[in-house]
Amino acid sequence: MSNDQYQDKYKEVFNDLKEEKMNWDFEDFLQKAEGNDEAEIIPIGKGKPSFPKWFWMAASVVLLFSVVLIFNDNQNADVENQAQLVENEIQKQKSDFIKENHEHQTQVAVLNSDSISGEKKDSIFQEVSLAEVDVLDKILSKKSRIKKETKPRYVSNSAVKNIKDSTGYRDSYVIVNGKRIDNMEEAINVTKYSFQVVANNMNQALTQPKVMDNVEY
Amino acid sequence: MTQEIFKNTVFILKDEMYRFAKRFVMSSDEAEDVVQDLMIKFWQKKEELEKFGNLKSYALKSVKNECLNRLKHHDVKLGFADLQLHRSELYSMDVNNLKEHIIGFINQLPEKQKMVIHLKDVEEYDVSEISEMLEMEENAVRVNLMRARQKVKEQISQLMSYEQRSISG
Repeated sequence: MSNDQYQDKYKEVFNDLKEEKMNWDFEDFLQKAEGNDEAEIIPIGKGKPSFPKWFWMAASVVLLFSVVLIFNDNQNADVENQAQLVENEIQKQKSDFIKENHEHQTQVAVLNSDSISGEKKDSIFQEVSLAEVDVLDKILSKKSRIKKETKPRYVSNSAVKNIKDSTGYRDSYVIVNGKRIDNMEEAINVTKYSFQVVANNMNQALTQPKVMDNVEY
Repeated sequence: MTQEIFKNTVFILKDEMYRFAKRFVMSSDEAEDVVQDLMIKFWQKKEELEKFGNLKSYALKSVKNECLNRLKHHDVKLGFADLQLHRSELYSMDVNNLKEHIIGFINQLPEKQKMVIHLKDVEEYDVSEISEMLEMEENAVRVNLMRARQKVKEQISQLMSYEQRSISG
């Protein structure tokens, strides 16, 4: 097949393509375009809403506001009441607690004397000073203070009793052979004398040993 | 811009626009739809159209953009595979002679080649005009035109030899 044939066919095809036309005249187009223009116009409604609309709108707004106000008031009152109630309750409990625990006759306080952190103060019994200065803290070094065991000490606040020593010991006098001696020099002399008596008896016992003949085996 | 001026400057481009649109979209109906939509848009902006020096170029660019937008939308709707199937079915329906075969083949060319061959061999524009319309280098226009013509001619040669064989056989 020759090249001309291809070329002819090619031209024929493209000529056919060129002859294609759109079946649409200007009048139809204008109608469509103007119809489109009209459709685009958005009709504007009435300028102002009528009286009943305004009335109902205003009424609903007022109603809404009043409901909100009432609700808010109630809520605030509730909050205040609750706060008052809680405060009263706390005050009551506090006073009860103070009343119960302020009787020194029965009260027993446990004191954990921590030498490092110091004394913790009780907010209720501030006037009662339970703090006790530990003498060892002053003497011991820091390390030793840490090592030192902290044992709870019990402090009794019961009524002050006349403590009597079961031995009946009094440091103001001594009793020697059933005789009371108040003077210190006298006591020393008596003691010296007693030691001499003991010593003499011991010497006698050592210098005069006796064979026990009459002992039967 | 008056109605008369619009008719003589813009509306007369409808056939050219229609033919160009047919290179992109599936059917004649859709091509007509594209042209109608664009014409209405031009009418609504007829005062602004006067600013454009080359209305033909502007109109054809608009057709290209509108068609590509529609194709994009169509692609999204159908999915690429379905679209290909649809195209092949569509073309197989009207391919009842050599001419339809060739037109179908032109439509299946790559986008740039298709536009260039149409504008050069159907609408008979110069290479410089095509390069301006499609915003391409003149050399690129020439290369695309050459490749497109070569492919179409090969296709014609194949089809004609097949026809001859079937006649002689």
